[in-house]
Amino acid sequence: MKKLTKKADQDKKYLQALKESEARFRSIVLWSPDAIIVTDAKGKIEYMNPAAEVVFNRKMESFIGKDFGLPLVNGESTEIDIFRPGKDPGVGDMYVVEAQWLGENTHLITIRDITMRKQIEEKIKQAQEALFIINNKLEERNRQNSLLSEMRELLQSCSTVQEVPAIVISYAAKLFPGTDGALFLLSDSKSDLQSMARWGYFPEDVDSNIFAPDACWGLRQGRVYAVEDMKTGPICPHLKKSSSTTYICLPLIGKGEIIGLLHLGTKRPVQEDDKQANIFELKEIAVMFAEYFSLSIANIKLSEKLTSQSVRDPLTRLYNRRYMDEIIQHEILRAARQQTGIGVVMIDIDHFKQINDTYGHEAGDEFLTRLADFFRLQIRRSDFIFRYGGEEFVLVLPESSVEDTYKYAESLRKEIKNMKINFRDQQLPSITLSFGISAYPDLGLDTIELIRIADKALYKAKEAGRDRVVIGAQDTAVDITERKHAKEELQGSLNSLSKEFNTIVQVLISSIEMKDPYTASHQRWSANIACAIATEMGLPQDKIDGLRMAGSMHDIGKLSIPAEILSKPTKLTEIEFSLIKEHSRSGYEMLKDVESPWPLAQIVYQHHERMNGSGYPRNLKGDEILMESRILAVADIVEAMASYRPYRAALGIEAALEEIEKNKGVFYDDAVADACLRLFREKGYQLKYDGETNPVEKT
Amino acid sequence: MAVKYVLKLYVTGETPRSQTVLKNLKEILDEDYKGVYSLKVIDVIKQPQLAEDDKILATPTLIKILPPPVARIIGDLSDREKVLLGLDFVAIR
Repeated sequence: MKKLTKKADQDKKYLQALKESEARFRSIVLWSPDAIIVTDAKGKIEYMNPAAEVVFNRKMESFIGKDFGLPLVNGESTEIDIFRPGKDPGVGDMYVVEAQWLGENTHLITIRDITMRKQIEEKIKQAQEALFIINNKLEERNRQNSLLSEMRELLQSCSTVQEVPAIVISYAAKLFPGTDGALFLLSDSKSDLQSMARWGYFPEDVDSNIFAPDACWGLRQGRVYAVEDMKTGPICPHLKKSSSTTYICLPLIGKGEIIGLLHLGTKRPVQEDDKQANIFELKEIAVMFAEYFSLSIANIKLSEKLTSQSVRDPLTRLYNRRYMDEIIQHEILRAARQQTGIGVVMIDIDHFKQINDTYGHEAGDEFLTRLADFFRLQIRRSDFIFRYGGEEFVLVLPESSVEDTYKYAESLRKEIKNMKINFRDQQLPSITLSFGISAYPDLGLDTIELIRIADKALYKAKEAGRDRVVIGAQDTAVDITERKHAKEELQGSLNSLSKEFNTIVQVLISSIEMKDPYTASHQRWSANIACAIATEMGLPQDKIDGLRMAGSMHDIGKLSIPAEILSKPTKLTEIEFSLIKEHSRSGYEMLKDVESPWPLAQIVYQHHERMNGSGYPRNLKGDEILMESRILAVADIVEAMASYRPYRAALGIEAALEEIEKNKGVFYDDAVADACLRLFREKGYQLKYDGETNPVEKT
Repeated sequence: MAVKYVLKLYVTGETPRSQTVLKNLKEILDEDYKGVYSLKVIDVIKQPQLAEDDKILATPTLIKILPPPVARIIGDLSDREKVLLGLDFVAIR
């Protein structure tokens, strides 16, 4: 009996344990959130847990015994789509394992609903893709900006328009890949555009590369013109031969005006969504490209203009060789007219190359600059100094003879040795110069000859040992004869001219006499006094002749002034006085077109100017007044004061001389005033009137 | 030659998974059974009623209708051996 009870108890305990174990495991299955399905070896459903109802959104009773399907994996996960009518299909993670259940093969299938997770993963993926695209675009934009900066710098260092196309083409290809394009510049005449750079497959025919501005819609409207599909247009007339399907035309603006056009075309349609930007995305880059380009073209043109207009050497600031040709030409004409000479000196620095080699090019530049300063200080106001070459200078001395020029060059040669030049705390060796002299008209009649002879003379100076002045020699005997002939011819024509001229002069003088006999005699006397002063000062005969001529008609302008004013006995009103002042200008106007060997018109024009600028009509000062005019001014005053006038008695010569003395250096040139005073006071020059029309000089 | 095998494939939409499954399956069948099979593809989104009638729970599910017995496999259909085995195309050892 006891044995049975023990076994029964044991059985009971065993059963109890089993029940408890079963309950524990059952709850795991029941409460699992994942669907758990048990199928037989062939895939027929034997059990489904409650979660399956949720996952598959239907009651599971009808599925027991039905075919789930044979999973093809074992011990692995695989993704499947969950079919659940009434809801959107979900995504599941299906884990299958083969197991033994009650002695039979079964499949234990767990399906986890991962729909939510999948959706989130998809969103992340999309976000990453978007980020990737944006990143690429940013990188691309950076790259484009770098390229634009590079291009801008390169363009800035161009000095001629010719250097630009190559740069533009290479950067256009990098900035606008996949496009065919061209850059056009508006011609100076503004009548057409010409291509200056092409890339891609831009057509080469003439019509595509030269056309009038109104053949482009972009230019006509003054802003970007874009066409997405060239089949529907309207396309610019100048693109007839283009094979593109899409394009933009961008006008280039410089300084507020249209200066050209940028054209970009492509065969790729706009919708294509590939890594390369479509043509409208390139528009921003194109605009910046166009701006940089326009700016640099404008700058280059400006600097080209400045260079061509430049008359100065940049380092020394002296006038350059181009300007020298102009100046010498001008001076030769003047010298021919005034019968003066011009000295031309070619100057070269001795051993300059050695200085450059020993102390460097910067020291050499310092030398040149200081030498230029030296010249500038030494020369007279009427002289010119030019930088002729690397180490050569040309000095031009108007109104100078060969002797004057030689003396001058010599003094420069000595003076330069005193100049000390310091460079970077080092005292550079003192320099010596070699000089070659030529002169107009004795040693050359035109610029080329003058320079050539001076150059030859300079060469001789170098050969002979440097640090010296050599006067040039005339060319061969043949040349001399030719030049003598030329000179004689010139003289001949001058003589015949002067015969005609004298006649004209006589006519003019007679007309003055008829109008106002007083003025006539005044002119004659003034001329005499002026010539006497000029002789006292040692002026050349030729100048004295000119002075006589000018003096005898210096008041010719008074022909246009009413006689009543001229001989008015009382004080003049302001208006009357200004009319009188006009006579200098009128005289100039009358004489300026008369052919003569002397600057008569200018002498007459200036004879009322005063040294301190207080004269009329132009308030000229000092050196601006011709020497002849300065002499005439003094003679004019002396004569006027010393003689009888309608409005006052003669003041006498003494009063006149006192006036000259008082205002010497102020109104009147020092040397002229001194000569005048000397003439009357020491040399016994006298004015004596014999009647009213025949003055008699007495010296 | 007469069609020997009649198959029905259930897929969900035209997702990449559906397209891959179809491609894989066709490759497997065309290798040895070209011309002797007929395959009907049913999209459970477009024709949910058919899927319900066939008691479909998940896709991809491939059902062999002929020759009998009916066999159904589910899940990854990329392994050739397993597919053919599952459909009883080859003898089970």
